[in-house]
Amino acid sequence: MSLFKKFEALAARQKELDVTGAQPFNVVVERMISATEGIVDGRKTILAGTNNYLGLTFHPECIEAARNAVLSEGTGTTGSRMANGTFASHIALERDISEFFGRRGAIVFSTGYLANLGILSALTNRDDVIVIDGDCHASIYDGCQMSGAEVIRFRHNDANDLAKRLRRLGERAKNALIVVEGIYSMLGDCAPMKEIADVKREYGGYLLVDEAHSLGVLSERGLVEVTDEHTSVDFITGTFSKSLGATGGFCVSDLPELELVRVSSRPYVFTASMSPSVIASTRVALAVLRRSPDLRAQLWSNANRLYELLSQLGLNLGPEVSPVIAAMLTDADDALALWTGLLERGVYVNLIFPPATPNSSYLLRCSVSAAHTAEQIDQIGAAFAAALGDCDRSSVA
Amino acid sequence: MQSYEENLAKLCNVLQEHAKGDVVVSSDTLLASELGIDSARLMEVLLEVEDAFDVSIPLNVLPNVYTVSDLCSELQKILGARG
Repeated sequence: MSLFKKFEALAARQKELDVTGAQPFNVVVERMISATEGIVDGRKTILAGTNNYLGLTFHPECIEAARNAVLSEGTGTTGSRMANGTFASHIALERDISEFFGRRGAIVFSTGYLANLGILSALTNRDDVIVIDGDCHASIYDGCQMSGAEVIRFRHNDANDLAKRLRRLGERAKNALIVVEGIYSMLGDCAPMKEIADVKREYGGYLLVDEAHSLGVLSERGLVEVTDEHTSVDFITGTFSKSLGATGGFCVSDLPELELVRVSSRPYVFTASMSPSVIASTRVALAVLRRSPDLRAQLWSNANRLYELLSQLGLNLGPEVSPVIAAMLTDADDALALWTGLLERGVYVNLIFPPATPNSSYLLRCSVSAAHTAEQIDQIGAAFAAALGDCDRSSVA
Repeated sequence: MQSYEENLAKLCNVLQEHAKGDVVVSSDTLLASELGIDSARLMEVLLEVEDAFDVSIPLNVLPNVYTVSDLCSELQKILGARG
């Protein structure tokens, strides 16, 4: 059997896309204009699928901090945190994050993906059980797989199903690690934090919440803060690549054992650390996030407006208003036609196919930014309306 | 504890409810390709199987599960461990 036989189905799908001329998974932003606009296919395009929730990628203070860091510390660390890759700025960022969340300890990873991979794979091993929401991000699934732990899924956002799984574990539930997300990345819905925490209180175990899409979005610190469930949550992970406009990830905890993860986490040990410029812009972005509640207010104003506009078009949207607004379609060709129609009209959103989507749906996923103007939000809505005219609406609603 | 044959019959019944077309589910049916459902839907169906047997099937065992018979063997192990 050929080494590449496993790619045949993917290759066939790519060929179909080549015929249409659409390249939804190979979009190139030829030039960035601002946090919300770029040149795609030679056309000025509103970027409505970038997770740039607070629009900080072009914030002048963040850029200035990054520029100064490059000049003073160089372009990269060229090494692991365990070796030569821990600069004073990495420690300072960990101190910032720890203080921000009011937690005893923090570890910074090179990406958000690596944060989940690094924490899950180090915290658990083949003797442990991890119980995850079925809609958790791939980084959580991959971290679970890397750990070798027994992995059990519960129905998305169903605290009763979680309880059922923990009951079936018997005594083992007391040491299980439960994993949920603040905002789920595909449909933008929040975890039912109170109910999840109640189940944890009843059965025991540890609780990890990934705030990748909720940090700076639901509140300064995310869903755990909004629901005041600080004491029931043992670990919070997240990323600097969304609301903070850079790259990198983190985990915070009050448990002193978190420090031991540093020496036992392969994704922490065997990768180069965050570049000084990224650290610098992240630290400033965190400060901006803390002093700028107006950004969050603008983000939600934009989210409410776009959700309303797309609802009025009869699109089948995620269950709650959020800066992640996903239209669910049942047909791949219609989804591709709609996505292409949007791009032709100067609007970029994410096109996501099963199995990466809930319920085998085809998603046109928008992520709203505080930096979108009211005019841009209306343009996105108008582009959807026009592009829908080219589609078979039966698969849309 | 139920016998393997009894559990197999129960498992086939659950899967049959979700199979598409004129598929007749048997011990040799390939889960990924012969039930007429995609992989995401198959994961949902497995949740139904778990409820029917009141067990949780770890994701770790799934890479080695190809047929209905393979799945039944895993269920038998889980049920056996529970006693």
